[in-house]
Amino acid sequence: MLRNYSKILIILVIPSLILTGCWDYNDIDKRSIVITVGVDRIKGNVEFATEVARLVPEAGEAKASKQDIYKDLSYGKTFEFARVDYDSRRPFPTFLSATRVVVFGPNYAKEGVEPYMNRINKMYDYRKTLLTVVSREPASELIQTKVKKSLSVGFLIEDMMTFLSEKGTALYPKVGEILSDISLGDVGYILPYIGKSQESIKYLGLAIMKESKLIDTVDVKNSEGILYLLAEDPVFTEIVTLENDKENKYSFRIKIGDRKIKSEYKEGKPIINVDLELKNQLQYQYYVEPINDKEKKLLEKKISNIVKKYITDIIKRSQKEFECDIFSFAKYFRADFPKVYKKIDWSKEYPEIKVNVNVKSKIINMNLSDPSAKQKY
Amino acid sequence: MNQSITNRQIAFILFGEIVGYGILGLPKGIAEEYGTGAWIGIIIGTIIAIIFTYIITYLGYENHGKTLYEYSEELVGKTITYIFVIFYIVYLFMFFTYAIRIASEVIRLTILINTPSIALSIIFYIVTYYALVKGLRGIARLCEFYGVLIIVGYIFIFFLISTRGNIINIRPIFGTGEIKQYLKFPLATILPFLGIEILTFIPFNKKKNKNVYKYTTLMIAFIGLLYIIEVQACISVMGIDDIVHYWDALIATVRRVDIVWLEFLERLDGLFLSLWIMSIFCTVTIMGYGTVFFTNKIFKKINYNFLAFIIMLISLIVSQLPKTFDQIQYLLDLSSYLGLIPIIIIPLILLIVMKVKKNN
Repeated sequence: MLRNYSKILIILVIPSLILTGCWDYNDIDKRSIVITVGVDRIKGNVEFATEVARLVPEAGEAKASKQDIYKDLSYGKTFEFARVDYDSRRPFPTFLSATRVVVFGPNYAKEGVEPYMNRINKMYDYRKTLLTVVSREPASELIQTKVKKSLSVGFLIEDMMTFLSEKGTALYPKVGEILSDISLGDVGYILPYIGKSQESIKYLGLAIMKESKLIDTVDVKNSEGILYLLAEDPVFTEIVTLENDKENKYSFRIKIGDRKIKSEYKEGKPIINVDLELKNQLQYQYYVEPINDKEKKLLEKKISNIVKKYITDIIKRSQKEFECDIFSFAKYFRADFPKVYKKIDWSKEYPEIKVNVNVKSKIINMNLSDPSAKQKY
Repeated sequence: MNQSITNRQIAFILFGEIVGYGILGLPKGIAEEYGTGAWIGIIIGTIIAIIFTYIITYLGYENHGKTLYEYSEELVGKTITYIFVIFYIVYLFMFFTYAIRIASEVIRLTILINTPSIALSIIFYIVTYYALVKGLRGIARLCEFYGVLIIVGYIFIFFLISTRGNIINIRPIFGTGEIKQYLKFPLATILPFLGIEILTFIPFNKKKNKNVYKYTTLMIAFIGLLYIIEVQACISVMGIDDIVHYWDALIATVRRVDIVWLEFLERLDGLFLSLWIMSIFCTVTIMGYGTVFFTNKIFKKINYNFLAFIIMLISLIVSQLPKTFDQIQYLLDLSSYLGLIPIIIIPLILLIVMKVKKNN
């Protein structure tokens, strides 16, 4: 009996003494919980602008806590020196697992964000599903913004981008996905582009990254073409008119039914074929008027043409202006022609490749309206 | 200390031993060899593993109630048997020692940054020793219980990972399509199946283990399927160009996935690491048992529990000898290659001798 007890005692006592968590244990209110990190290059130095949450136990209520957020800046020749600088300003160890967003300032984004992407990837406490954005203003200026719409700049950006991407009107690229694109080497990628507006933060559009460097931006109003190709489950609103009645506008809600990207290799040239099937739902007409089947077909064709133009315009821009495959067409070509892909230099070929865009659109419902209703009087 | 166990327990012991540390780096190893045609490589490896599993099962089954030590002595004599057993002991000892060390290092590098790896190793050794003294039946029950949890948990995680993957990342389905790629002997595909040698130290009972062939070979086929699901899920998330950079490809993939609707389980790494530590524990326990079992055959006079304690102590000391991660990785790789002797060469020799003797 005594022997059994001693065994249990040994099993309980020894692990308790060397309990693995002990070394890493730290109370949550004894950590500097970083919510937002801004990375920029200022006068040759790396600048870290951070929003840090401080959890302060309220008097008399040991369990309750009040959230407080402070902001700080730190500098260094490298990330490591900048980290030393900010660690030396903080009361508690830095904790990055709760970071919501990393903001790249314009200077750093133009210089190339790959080193910081790799830093996020390999720092054990950073989430690899973190959101990264490029800011129009210096990162510190953006982070210093006193936002009223949310607890902090970081939360505001994250909530805003989550909402917009769920709606399909923005992209939410995660660090992991970007790292996969960087590894492929031949393609560029896109990050959300944000800026200050009326003492708050606004989503401005998309930042085009070539070799991880910011080379251009696409305004939110012109980003439909990219979203039609890359957004996960986008929902768009398009306005079309009929030739005989320009005053009456038809507002359509458009979803992507099917999106296929295929490739061909003809006469030593890669060809990309994009096939898009759209499902349109009439939201309302500015003035209620009957629509016959012929007009329906016309509306469908008009929508197809509008969307096709969005896509071809942005693809042309990517080939001529950006000279960078931001749509990852390389992956599709490699999937179909792995041996050819090995031989060619995709980044050099891309500006010259032929991209065929085929958009089919179908009006699937009229929002419970009967456009052919018969009126007795 | 020969103890017979049920067919199901044998199958789960096999699972517990094979699916351990190796599952972390499997997507990297296979992707480096076969690219997006990794699944073909795994199928080839699975078929080879099934053949050798069948051979080892056959040896055990035909030599009712005996383990390798006994039937090898009858087939090839005492001296050669000693050499065989020493091979097994060295391989099993090295493998479980460095598996514990490398698992501790991975835990330290991924979640417990400030915790010394020796503290983690000691925890592993204490729990492993406790399981060892419970004997084969205790280990079998443990593997049965843990095995179900690990299988369900892994399938759940791999399924969730694949929902976040992109089909374009796993294309071209047949890799580069070059046949010669699949014709070379795929070491990278057979190494993930190291562990089938466990069947050499389980005594089979002809009545109780009538359908043991079905259980062992089907379990290997299932492990192959699990590997395919894992590798394809990982490649679909990370992409073939990125995955090859990670020794811990599976953890790296799990960390790139967020499942928002799972609320507090949104990040899967906590769940995954718990399951992975359970599977490591199964592997080292079984291998530890194998080491003690074969050593006990040589030093028959020493008490099993005391021998287990001594071996655990020596293993703890030896596990701390390598100073760098690369050294540990090298020693683990070395023991893996050494493992090819007990799972391929020794069973083949014994099978041939047995067949020749039967014919005579």
